[in-house]
Amino acid sequence: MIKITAVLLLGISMQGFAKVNPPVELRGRIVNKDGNPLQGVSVLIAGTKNGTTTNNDGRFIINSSGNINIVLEISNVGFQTKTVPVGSQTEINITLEETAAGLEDVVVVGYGTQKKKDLTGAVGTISGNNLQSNAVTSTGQALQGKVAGLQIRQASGGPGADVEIRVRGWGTFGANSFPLVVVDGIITSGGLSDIDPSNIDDITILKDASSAAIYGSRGANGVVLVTTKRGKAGKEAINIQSYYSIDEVTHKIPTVDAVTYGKMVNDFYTNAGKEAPYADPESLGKGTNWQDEIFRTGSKQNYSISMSGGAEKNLHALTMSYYKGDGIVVNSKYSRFNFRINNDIKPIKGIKIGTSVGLSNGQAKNGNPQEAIDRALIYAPNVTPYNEDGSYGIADKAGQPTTMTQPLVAAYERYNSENKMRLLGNIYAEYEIIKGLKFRSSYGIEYNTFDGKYFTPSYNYGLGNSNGTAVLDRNTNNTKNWMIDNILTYTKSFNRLHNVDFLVGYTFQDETYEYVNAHRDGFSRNDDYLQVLDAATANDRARGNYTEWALQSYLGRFNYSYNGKYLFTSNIRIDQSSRFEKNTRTGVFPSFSAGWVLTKERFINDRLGPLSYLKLRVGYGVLGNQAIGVYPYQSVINSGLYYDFGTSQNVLAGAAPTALANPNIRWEKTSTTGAGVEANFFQDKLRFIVDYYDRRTSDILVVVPLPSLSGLGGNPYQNVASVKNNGFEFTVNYANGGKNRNLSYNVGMNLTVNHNEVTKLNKGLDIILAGGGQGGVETRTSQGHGINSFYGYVQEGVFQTQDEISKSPTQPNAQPGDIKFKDLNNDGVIDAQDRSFLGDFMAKQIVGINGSVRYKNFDLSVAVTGDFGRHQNIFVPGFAAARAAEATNAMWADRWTGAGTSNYIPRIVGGDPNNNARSSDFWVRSQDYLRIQNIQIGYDFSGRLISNTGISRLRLYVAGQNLATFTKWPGFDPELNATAYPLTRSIFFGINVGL
Amino acid sequence: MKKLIYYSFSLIVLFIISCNKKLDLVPIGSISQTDFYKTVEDANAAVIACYNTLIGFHTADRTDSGVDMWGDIQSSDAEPHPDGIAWNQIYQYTLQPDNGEVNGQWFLIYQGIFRTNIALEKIPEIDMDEQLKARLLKEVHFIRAWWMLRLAKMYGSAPLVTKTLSVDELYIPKSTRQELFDQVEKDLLEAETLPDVYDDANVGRATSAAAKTVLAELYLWEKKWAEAQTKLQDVISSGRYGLLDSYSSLFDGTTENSKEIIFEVQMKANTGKNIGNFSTTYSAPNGEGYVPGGGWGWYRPTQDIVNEYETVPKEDPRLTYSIFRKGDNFEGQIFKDVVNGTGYATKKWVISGKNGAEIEQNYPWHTSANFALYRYAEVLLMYAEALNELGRSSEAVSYINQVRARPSVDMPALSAGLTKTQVFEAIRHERRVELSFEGKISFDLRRWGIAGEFLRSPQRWQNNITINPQWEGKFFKYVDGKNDVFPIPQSEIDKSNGTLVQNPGW
Repeated sequence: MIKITAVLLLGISMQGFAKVNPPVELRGRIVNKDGNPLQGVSVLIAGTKNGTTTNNDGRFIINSSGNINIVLEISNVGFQTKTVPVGSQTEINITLEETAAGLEDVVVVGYGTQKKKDLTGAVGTISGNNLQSNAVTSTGQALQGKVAGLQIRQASGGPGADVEIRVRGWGTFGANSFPLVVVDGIITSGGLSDIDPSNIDDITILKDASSAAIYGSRGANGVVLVTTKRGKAGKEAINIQSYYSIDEVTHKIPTVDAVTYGKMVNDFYTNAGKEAPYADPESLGKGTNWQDEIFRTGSKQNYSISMSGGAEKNLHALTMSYYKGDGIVVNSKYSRFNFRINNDIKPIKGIKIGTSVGLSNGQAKNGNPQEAIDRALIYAPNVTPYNEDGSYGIADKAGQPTTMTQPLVAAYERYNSENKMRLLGNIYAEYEIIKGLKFRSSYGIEYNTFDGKYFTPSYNYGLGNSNGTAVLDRNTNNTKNWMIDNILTYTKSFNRLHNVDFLVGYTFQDETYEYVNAHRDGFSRNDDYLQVLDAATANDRARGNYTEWALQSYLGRFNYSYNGKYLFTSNIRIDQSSRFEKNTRTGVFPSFSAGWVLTKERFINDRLGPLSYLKLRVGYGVLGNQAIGVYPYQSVINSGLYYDFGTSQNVLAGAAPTALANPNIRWEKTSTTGAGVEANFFQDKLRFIVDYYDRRTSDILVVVPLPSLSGLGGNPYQNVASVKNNGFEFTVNYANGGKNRNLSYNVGMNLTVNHNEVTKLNKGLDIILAGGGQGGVETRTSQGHGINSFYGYVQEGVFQTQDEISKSPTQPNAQPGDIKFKDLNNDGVIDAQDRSFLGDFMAKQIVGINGSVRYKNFDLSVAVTGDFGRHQNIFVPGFAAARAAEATNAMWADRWTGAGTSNYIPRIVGGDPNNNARSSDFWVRSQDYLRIQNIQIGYDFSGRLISNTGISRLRLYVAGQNLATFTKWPGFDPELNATAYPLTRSIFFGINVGL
Repeated sequence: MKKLIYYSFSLIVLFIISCNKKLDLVPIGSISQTDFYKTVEDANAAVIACYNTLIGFHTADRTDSGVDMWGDIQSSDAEPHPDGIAWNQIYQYTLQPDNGEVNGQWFLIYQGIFRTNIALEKIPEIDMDEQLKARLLKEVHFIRAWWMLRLAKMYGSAPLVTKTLSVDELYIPKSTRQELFDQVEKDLLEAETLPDVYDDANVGRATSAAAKTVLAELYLWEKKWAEAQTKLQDVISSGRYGLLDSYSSLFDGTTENSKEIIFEVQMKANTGKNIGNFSTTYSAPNGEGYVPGGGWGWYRPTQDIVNEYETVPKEDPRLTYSIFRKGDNFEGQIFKDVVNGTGYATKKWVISGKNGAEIEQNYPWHTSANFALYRYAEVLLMYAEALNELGRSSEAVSYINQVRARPSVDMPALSAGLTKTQVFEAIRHERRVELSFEGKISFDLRRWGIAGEFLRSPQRWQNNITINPQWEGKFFKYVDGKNDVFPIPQSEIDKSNGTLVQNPGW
């Protein structure tokens, strides 16, 4: 949290006797801990109404009676109130300490910075200290549960996996719904991937349109601004951090034993009128739990060293780190090397030049972990992992999945390696033309390369597990992204009261992407040293493509504040994108916001009570979204439609459009109206922030699945929908302040309540379908419901008897044991009219709870996160009993096997005559969860213990991650799809050393 | 100082000027539609794209090429692998309008229609050799007719689309089956003047005989017996076609575009272009390593079709050529029926590669075998049917006998004195065994209007398996007037903003 350093510069001399002095003029200057003057500070002689405020140089003059016993009361928003006995002095210098609220902190906003107290938009911040004192493996993960309105979802638990971030719900559903990630001013295409958390100074989240409008067409889903550490003048600071973790899978999906499996397979056949493959299932025993075979104890280790410092005119910060993870699936590992150097040089007065360069290299070496997981969930328990001779055990009998890859074959017999390189570089020059007028020009590049090598050896282990000839696929791609920013800013203060801030700028960005894939097979052997294309002999195939887009923008910002009391900000961005046709290319994105610091008003100031700070904010802005592919408006020809003719079978390339284009697409626009209250009590110890937002996205670009009459599989983007996201963000925090040196604590909670609703579909569309049909769960988007809401039949129970079927509404081909569906329209027939909405796809409530305590050298922190209201589909491998021998989920042990056995889990039957597999709430389950995400205990050896060693700080900690999750979700993890690479439960051992 | 401000602004202005044209980017690596359909090469490519739709025409997963499950699964001849829910429901007639295959087939049909529509709209504008242009257009008419006939056969009534549609024009109500038939006839009358033969480089393209054969099929559906007879007469009397001596060589990958082939889908393995034949892996016995892919057994002969083969005075040799029975030796490997459990497996188009036919060694284990949509044996049987319906039953018998007399089959000739009904029964039998697993029989049953009666008959093997008492001897749930056609896919109705109405009974 915020470090509180108390420095009292003034020596106060107390004189023990009273004498009457003539009236005097008391003069003084009030500064913050960095020695910078504080303006507008209230100075009052205690017990009187005699007071004044400081000017813009922090100076004040006050007439005093000359009494040596008088005491000055100094108060300012964001600082701890201070009482200063005057004694006989006439010239007093006072340093004020900031409160825990950090209102004086400078916050990075787009293309500049602002003081937290001057902010008028909804902005969340996380300091780097917060990231580095915790054991976190990725930057995205570190944000989880920290900021209201931010949804972080881990996409997978793999050792190099990224997270999905969303700000204030899903504003769109056709185009990309992820926020823009800006690293040191570089608008990235690679997001937070492989950004080393130990590099980070702070992260700002621009949540609403009034703050994000400066990013115009790309700000609609919020903006994540990452600032890496820069050098500070002074002694070289060296920090070393390291951790090691032991990882286990958080939860294995319960599966059936071989006996139950055999009975299930028998049911599948006999209920379909076929012979049972297992004569005596009871003899099958317990069998293999394939998850035990493919999961193992994994580990993660991280080492990072950073140095920063330098002289005022030449500052530097350097970080190096190495991360290595052995995944919890056998034969999966990932390692990453990061390097960063940031420099700031002031060669001539008024000129500042700097660079930020970060390089990362991530490398994964795997079998196919996801395939191994998918297969482990369907593979027969009555197959042994290995035969006695050490070869793989293979399903080769009736009643087993004979065409499927054995999980261990998927895990071991694939030699996949992926190498990602990422360079983020930025150089800037800043020139102060006259005082307050600065011109800053910067050039940034991002260069991402991906290099994948996928070798499948030739092998023959038996049915479904043979590969006739070894195959090598080489996939490479690279993204080059460059941008130029030219920004002119002017800051001026008039009459001590009016502060203005102007910004105008021009930016241009261009991104190219190219991929090349090559394939060959016919290797004579599988040896490592032969796994190159030239060693193969057959079936040469190559693919490649190249895309480019560009964006040109003009931007402006105007800030005005009156005495820190009335605040006003306006942003504008004009974007021109190559993704659109010329006449729809330009988009204008303005925003306006205002703030009022009520605690600066005298009429409130007089009756403050425990209230120490109160600010109201309102804002409105318009944003866009252009992340819809590169040339969606152009109809292109697919020239890969082959056929052969002739006696020698000449292959000819045919060509036709295979996707429909829509030349009339426009920008998708999001307008946000928001209001917020920030209220602090008890000298800012207790802090509340409440925000209400109403975010409306119109002209949403959606790929609408058109009627198949189009004859085209690829459907075009259309501006067809309007969506509303509204809700509250509520943050409360209590910190006990720094008075007790031995004990400090901080507890906080944030809660986001989001309501997502489609308000309109254009063009006479009733619904937008996704997925759906049979053997899958349908989602649809329609007016009055959330985006991609699950849709289907509603289960009433399970038919117990033929009699019950005859007395129920007509449900074709139902037999006892089949799911009984509800006749929603009461017409006596179960048909398509009986479908309804089954649940939301997005969380309605997101909660984060954080607490930390420091007692003497011990520290303890706890973080809890939770999501409520989200649903997901379990018609997935292992769960679905659609195929004969591929259902292993333990729920089937409780299936219907006769009247009275189950009223929830249906029978298993081949061919599924009742269509139990139809989209229904049997397959749609809640993903609500509450999780103890992190508990950490640390001990700081700083102080006497290590004072002779040259080490200034030494902290050891133990942390547990994902220690417990409370959920009814039957998949691996409620944050993930049912069968995705699960998250890990990890115990970390860490050390942080400062030199 | 002012200079500097001026300089800064000039810099900004400079960028604006230099970068504006950088926004005019074009898609790289693909031709935009406005630049296509200009040259003779473009015309050729547009037609290839139409033929391309025939590969894997039967199912949503186009990799599964070289079979037409619809024609056999909806009858009593073949049953799907127990794992295929959608196919099992189609097989037993328990399907509902959300059936994935019903949905997938609908799309593939309209994809075929779209490709041909755009070719028919764009090729006429291309400046090229007029003779070639005319031929290409006729080929396209042929392909459109084939797809539209399939649409009419399967769904009965459906939207008639004869031009490319924009985003806003996709909401079209259904036309009647007769209206679809009329369009098929129009297209085929255009196409029947296609060349009779092609040079070596172009063998495999649609011919005049192909167009006439499809036209005859259409006329049989319409019960226009005389018209059908005329068209088939043309094909037969051309003298270009005949039966291959070896029945099995039609299906083992050793013959291509032979004299027996009226029209076949051209396929090739090892191209990486997804134009190979998947039927080997699709059909070969599940769980036995006959072929590189092991065999998935998605498509299994039933006892009912086995019962159909004659056994007196000798067993019909076509049984052994078409179906694996337990203990059969296939190129050195014995069929043990480890997993299928039915005792039978499909043999047509199962290729191990040992006979020299090409097969890929890795997924998807495609072969180069072509898939025949129409062959001369069927022409003879269609001709027999037309003659019989025209009252020329004894003539009809001689054409059935031609099929039975193939040297490798050599079944005894039928007597010329059979009644019209007996001849019809003989044709029904002969089509069922000669064309087994070639995607014909279920459409035949519907065309003859006897599908319900046939499937519900107590003679059907499926209706006699007593293992599931719930069926009460009625395995097939065929309902007359409903199951004669498939339902319009539910998702298409949902997407149609009310313009599509479900077929009766669904």
